[in-house]
Amino acid sequence: MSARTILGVSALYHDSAAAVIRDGEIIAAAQEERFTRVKGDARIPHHAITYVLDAAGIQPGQLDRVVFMDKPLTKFTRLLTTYAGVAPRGLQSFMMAMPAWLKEKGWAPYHIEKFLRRLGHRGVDFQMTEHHQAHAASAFYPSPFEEAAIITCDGVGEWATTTVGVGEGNRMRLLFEQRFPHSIGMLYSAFTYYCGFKVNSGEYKLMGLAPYGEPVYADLIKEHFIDLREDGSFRLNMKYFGYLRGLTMTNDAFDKVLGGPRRSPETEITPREMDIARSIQAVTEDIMLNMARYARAVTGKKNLCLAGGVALNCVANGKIVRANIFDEVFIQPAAGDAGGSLGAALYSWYQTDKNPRVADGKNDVQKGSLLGPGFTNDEIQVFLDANDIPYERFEPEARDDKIAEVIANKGVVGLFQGRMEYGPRALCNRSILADARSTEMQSFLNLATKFRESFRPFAPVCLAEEAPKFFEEIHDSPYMLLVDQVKADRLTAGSAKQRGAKIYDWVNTPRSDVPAITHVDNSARIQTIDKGRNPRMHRILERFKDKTGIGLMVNTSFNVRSEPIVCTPEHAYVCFMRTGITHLVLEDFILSKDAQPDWDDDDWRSQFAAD
Amino acid sequence: MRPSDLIVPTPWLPAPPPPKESGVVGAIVKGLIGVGAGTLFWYWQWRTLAIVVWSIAGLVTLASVASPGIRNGINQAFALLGKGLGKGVSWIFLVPLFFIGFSAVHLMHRLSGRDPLRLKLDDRPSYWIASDSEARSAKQVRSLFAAERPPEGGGRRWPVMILGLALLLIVAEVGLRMFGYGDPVLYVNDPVVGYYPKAVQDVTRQGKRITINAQNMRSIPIDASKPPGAFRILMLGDSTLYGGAYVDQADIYANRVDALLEKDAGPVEILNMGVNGWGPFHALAWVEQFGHYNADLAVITLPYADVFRPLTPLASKPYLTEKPMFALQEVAHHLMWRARNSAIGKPAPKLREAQGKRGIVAYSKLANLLRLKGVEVIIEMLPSRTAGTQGAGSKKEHDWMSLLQYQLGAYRFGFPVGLFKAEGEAAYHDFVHLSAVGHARYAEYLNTRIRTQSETFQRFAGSTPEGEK
Repeated sequence: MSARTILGVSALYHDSAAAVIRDGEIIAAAQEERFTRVKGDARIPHHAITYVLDAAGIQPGQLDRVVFMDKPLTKFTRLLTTYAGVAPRGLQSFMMAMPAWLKEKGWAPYHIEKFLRRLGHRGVDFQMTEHHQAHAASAFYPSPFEEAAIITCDGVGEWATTTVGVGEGNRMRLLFEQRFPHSIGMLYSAFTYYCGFKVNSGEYKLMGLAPYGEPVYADLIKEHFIDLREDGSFRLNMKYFGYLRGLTMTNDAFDKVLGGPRRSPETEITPREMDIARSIQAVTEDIMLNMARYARAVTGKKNLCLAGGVALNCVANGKIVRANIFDEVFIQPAAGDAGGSLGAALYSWYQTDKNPRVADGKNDVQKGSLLGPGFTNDEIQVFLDANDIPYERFEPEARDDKIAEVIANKGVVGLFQGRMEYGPRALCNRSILADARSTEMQSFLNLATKFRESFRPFAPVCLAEEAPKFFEEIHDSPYMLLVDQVKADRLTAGSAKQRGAKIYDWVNTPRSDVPAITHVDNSARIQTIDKGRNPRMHRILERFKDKTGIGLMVNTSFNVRSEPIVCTPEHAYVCFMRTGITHLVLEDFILSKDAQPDWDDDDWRSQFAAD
Repeated sequence: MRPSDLIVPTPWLPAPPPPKESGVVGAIVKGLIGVGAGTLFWYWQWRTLAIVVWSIAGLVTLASVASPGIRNGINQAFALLGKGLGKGVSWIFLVPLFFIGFSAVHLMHRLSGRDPLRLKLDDRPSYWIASDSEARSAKQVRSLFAAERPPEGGGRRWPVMILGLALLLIVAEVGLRMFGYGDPVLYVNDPVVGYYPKAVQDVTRQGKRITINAQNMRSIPIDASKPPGAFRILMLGDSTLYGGAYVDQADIYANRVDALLEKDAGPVEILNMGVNGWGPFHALAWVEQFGHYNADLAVITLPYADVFRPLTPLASKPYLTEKPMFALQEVAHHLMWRARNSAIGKPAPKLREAQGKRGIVAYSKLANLLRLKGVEVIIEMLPSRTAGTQGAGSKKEHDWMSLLQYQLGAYRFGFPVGLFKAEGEAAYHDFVHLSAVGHARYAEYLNTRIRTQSETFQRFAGSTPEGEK
């Protein structure tokens, strides 16, 4: 009998999450980190499970099935095979991995069932998908496509690191794969590590750093580190990588090829790191493009679905879209492991239970990825009054007008509305918004609001109908997963690359009439807003356009460096008070920083481990 | 305090229920586990430890039942202890597993040219691997294993086999240690005597205690010089006298005879020089080497097969000179010994017969040597389980005993066929070795024999002051 309510869970590697579907409809999904305030929290998602079941109104005894996104014992055998491949070296890594496996990871289904029993759900049917099956399902089933090629690509699942598959109606199959240790995700992480960033969270930084450099190391990478084939398949030359036997991603041989040791974390970034970042980005793009061509050739499908951590590489995604290999591309907004929870649940509904699927060819069923907790005005008022927080309450229309006005006047707005986003991108329900026309805004937001590295770019959010005015080719990107070039007619003179310049000066050089979102290579990571997915944000942009003439602003996640995106009004208020945000919007309430009491909290940054 | 700490928390979201706390039932179960552990220690003769464990279990259970606060504290302490133990145990088991098991597999792969991780680069046009799309059907959804094809060379099977083997070894090791393996009685290699137990040992095997004194005997501690007024009996023999690991120190007949003789005779010391695998040549060499310890009486005990035993060195026995690191090592050592013995085979009947005659001569020399030193000698032959029956083996036993009795006619001689009629099979542990029941019966027999046959003992008993009787 088909299960009506299905809980999907991903856990114990990075970014654990839970999702719940009912009769195939996505009801709720959230990452554990948002509740525990631990970035990339990989523990079994007790809070997220509790939330999604509550959001779906599932009472004890009403949950039909839980699906875990991994096959733990296959993963374990891969681990053992790896150690047998390197022993007697690798003891330190072995001694770190084994206790975790013996204690928790190997028993993940048991731990999840045990927790569900605590919630009153006993005897729930338990299923497990393979890691990449869940990724593939998370990309295909919510997509608008009746048929599509599927590419999943991440660090590693059980054995697979990359797969090419096909989806048709309610069925999907994985056709080809690459296996551990040969992994683009691992390759990219190795360079992340080498450039002094943290593996599993610093990959965005490497991608953001790449436009500052030139791909001068690309040939060296292809010559030594990776053996590429034209069909996108590859093998890594493992003599240069440390992750099989040690606790580091790279080794001395790797350093030798690149002419020196890795950059120490938090030290100055030099042109060398910029060039290395650009080079590995170029190689990754080549691989992804070749893979996409291969997927098109072997499946014959005209649409593509993407998922897996590597599918968060917006620059590579943009290149795939612009290469016109496929007619349309859908990328799962929670493309990393968090999205696997949704994929696992959907896989079970469609693939296991063979339930029918309807795809209209236009609209996805991800609901704008706004699947997390939301709060009513009444709840927020209780919070504000309980803490004697000064506020003003507006009617919805007036509120949107006020927000647009504040931003137009160079204010920085923390926007907290509706349900929280599922996935790493803030899609304007937990976002910081600012005026993209300001030349100082990028530095101000990086250094005084987000407290992060000054080189990191900011993304634009714009009215979908205005996108053709700002960007060359990509005009539909609701989930902020695609990068395109800012239109040439908006660029200003002197916007060419300034190789050798100090990053701070380079960043502050105006490159377009929307400089805060124009990266040094004149690119931008686009989010388009349509009325259907987020009508309130659409209205804010319209009001902003009315005042300034442009329907575009800066959108960055509502958090500071190393902090998970805010989840509750409390998180939002605390973040607002600690940073350069001038106004906080909590649903229909607007809080002005000037009206708030003193906030003496200098050492709060020690609360979050550096990412 | 940070300003953020002053924000009044609002119950925005449903909170996951906290883990269920261990209740009174849990505390009682833990207490029962403690009692069980104490009982095991008691059974293994670690009496003091058992009392300590029982006391702690009792106190902890009472305190846990009485107060939830104490219960939580105790649970946290146990959790910490478990964590610490887990870390220690991890290193003890995982490090050898890694270096021995994983390195061996790695070596095998290198030698056989297998490449389960596909580390070798080659000239193939594509590195894509076909997925097992059919096997990845919905049928697999309840399996902990993925349906994906294993790496070339059956890579999925052998890690599981290694893990299984490792777990098996761990379970076997733990199981064997529970029965006392891994801590055997150790032996000394002596080129003259052959071998004998290392001095001063106290081990427990299968729950039975074995104590070796400073003179290498399974006896109570003694002074080399006999205490004044005491009667000293030197018992010489093999494993039947030694008692094996299946009879507790307190139950071996040498100890029981001691107690029986002392009842109305005065202080008696019995020196139990019974050693596993010994024959006449060992006992003779031992007396030549170490003397007779001022014994008044020597009781040479033997089952008939001992006459065939040459002066075997330690190398031909399964005994260890050093404590093994693992219980499995001890078992492996024993199995290898058996395999080697099996390969060597038994001597030809003629050679065996010649050796038997030499053995009888050696017994004669031993008895004569002791007599020359002024020690009275009694020879006691222990009947086998089939002695006195109609079988060929019984006849052979009887013939050899007759020959021995003939050669040693000058000495008191006992061969109590039918002694264990009442106890039957229960008297024997195997064909010739006695059980605790057999030891008790044989002790009564020897008590009577010594009292009736030993003139020196009769003199000692007769001269003992009334108060000491």
